[in-house]
Amino acid sequence: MAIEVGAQFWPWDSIKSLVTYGKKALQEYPFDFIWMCDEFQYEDCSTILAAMAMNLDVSVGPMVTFPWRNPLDLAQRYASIAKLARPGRGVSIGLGVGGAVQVQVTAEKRNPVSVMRESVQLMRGLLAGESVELSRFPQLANRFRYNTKTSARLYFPPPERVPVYLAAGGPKMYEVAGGHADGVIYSQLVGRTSLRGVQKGLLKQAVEAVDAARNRSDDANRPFKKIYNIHISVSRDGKRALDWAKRNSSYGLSGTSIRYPEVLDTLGLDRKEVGFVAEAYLQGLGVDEAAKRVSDDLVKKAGFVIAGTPEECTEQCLELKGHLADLDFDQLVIGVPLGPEIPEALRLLGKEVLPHLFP
Amino acid sequence: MEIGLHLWPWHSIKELMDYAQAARREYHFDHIWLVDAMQYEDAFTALTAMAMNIDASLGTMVTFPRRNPMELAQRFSSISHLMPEGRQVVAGLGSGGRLQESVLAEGTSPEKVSVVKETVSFLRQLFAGQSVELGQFPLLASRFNYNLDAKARLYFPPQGLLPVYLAAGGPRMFQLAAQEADGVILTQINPWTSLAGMRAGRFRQAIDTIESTLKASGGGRRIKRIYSAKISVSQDGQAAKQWAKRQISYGAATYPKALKELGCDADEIESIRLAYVQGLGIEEASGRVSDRLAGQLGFVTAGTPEECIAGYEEILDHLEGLGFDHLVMGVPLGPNVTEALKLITKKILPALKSRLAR
Repeated sequence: MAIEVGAQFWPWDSIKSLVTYGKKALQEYPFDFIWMCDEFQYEDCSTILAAMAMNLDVSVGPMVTFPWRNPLDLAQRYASIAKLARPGRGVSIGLGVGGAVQVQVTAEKRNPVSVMRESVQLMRGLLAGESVELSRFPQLANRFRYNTKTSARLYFPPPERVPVYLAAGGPKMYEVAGGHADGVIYSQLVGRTSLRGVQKGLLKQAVEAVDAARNRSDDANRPFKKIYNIHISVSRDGKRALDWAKRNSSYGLSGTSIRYPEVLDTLGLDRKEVGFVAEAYLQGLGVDEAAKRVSDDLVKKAGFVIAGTPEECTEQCLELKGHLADLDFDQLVIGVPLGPEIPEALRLLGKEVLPHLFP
Repeated sequence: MEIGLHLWPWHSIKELMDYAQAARREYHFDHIWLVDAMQYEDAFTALTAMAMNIDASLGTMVTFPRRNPMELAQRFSSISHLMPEGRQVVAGLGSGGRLQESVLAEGTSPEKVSVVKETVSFLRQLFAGQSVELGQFPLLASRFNYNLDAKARLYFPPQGLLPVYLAAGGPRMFQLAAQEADGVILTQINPWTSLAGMRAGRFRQAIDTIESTLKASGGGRRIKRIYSAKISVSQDGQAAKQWAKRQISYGAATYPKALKELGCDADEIESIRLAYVQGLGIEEASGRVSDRLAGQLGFVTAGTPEECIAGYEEILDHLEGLGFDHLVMGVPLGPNVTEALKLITKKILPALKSRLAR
């Protein structure tokens, strides 16, 4: 089966611009999915996706949302959005641990593995139309004050399956993804699965770990999707594209520094240099300050974002695709930041980069 | 007086859209309101769909502070960017009730006034585009794990004004609405402001409390006054009355103490409350409402169109001269929503036309 191709946007633009970008993306390339990053404080991800589901002929989903939002609420949102999708299209949920941007306004800085596992299980149960006993989810019940004497269900479950994919960046999360989710998302913005991590064979190890966990699970034969989220910043002005990549690079580097500092050593990155970037988020100084702390050299060395002219991006994407070739991926997501000028980036991706990747 | 239409997500999102569109074709409703409840269709997604397809102002009537206000602010604000020219989205907020919270822990519903106060203030500041110190909202911070050292803001604040109206059902909430909110929603499903409450003079007391608080706050502050009248109408008057019991059960479970004080059967009220607490659902709860209790409470104007017109005439008599800006034709509407909307737009509202124009 041909690999699906998704496009990913970030709510750093207004909702009307994002819907327009979604439309333009589909004019430039027949993307199967449009994914939105979920963030506090920016435009609301689920509102954007509802607008896109109604107006665009494409499947949609968050890539990724996070369990600082109540999974009961998330299941409700995405079940409703699924009913707005065009015939043959649907909704999927990408869930992750949350990153440096969200962490700024939350006191509890981490989402433990148990919270992630419970979130996947609760949402899968609800979205399958099941009545779910809330006492089975003690971590979530504690965090969101569920009534553990009762059950929850969606009175209007989605018309088609809404799968829950887990963005996994380390061994414990590989275990949860393989054991409980409908699929796994490997992101270039995470140390082990960055371009540098892929070159060092860490993605292959990750895929093997998830497959092994799935094979050990009670439901080993369930449909299971493998998704790789490339992050790209492209422009005719290669330097500008590189500078723009620093925002997302800062975000990914910070997440790896906070959660998997030992991976920085494996990738040959300086913990101190990366820690300085992470501090910008931890001190609430925001993405612009964090991005300023990322040097050109660090963007290139880390390989968290593919950045440059269309030719430079094509070359790196082809290298990445080569590494993915034998790992049976189902979907490749062309992800944020896309480029300093989104319309230009969409045009370049659709006309100059993707035709080389998927001739 | 503006006229609003109120819908409940007991219907699929597509049905809700169809109802709203059909209603707007038949009558120039100024505003469409949606109840927010957990486990049903998502009110905000339905409002998003309506914002893109219906030329009316929109809002929740009501959402509740067990949803994270940081998320509420974000969702309302994004919907505001989709609204048609000249229309606005309104955050109608209440203190929560049994139905919304059957899946949430016992003992926290309805919300303490202090939590509601923080929520109103937090939403209004974010909607005004302000950067808000989270440390100023200790109750919300504790509940939703906010970082007390950080500030929050909406990077894409609402387009135009995004008012916060507070549904108030007791003296402290009447005061809070007058002090903090942009409007007050008084609902028929409340012992103070029901038809029974109107007849007993409690409604007048509520208005007096609001007015004296406004006066005390000085500066000629004026807030919008909305009355949400509940209707269940059908040519089959008995079916309409049975259907009304869903809403009545919800009100009965939300205000057990006040209703017992009004002389309602304490055992019956407790049995209805337990149906929600035990997660048995609204069908079971409404089956526990007797005809006698339904009549005694006056929470819903129910019956044939003629009976409903008479009920509304009485409500409008009580609202007369009290400065109300907006009357909501509120849920449950009727056992058959399509029929109910037709009766409301073709018979009831035309019959009330001269009263509403005053």
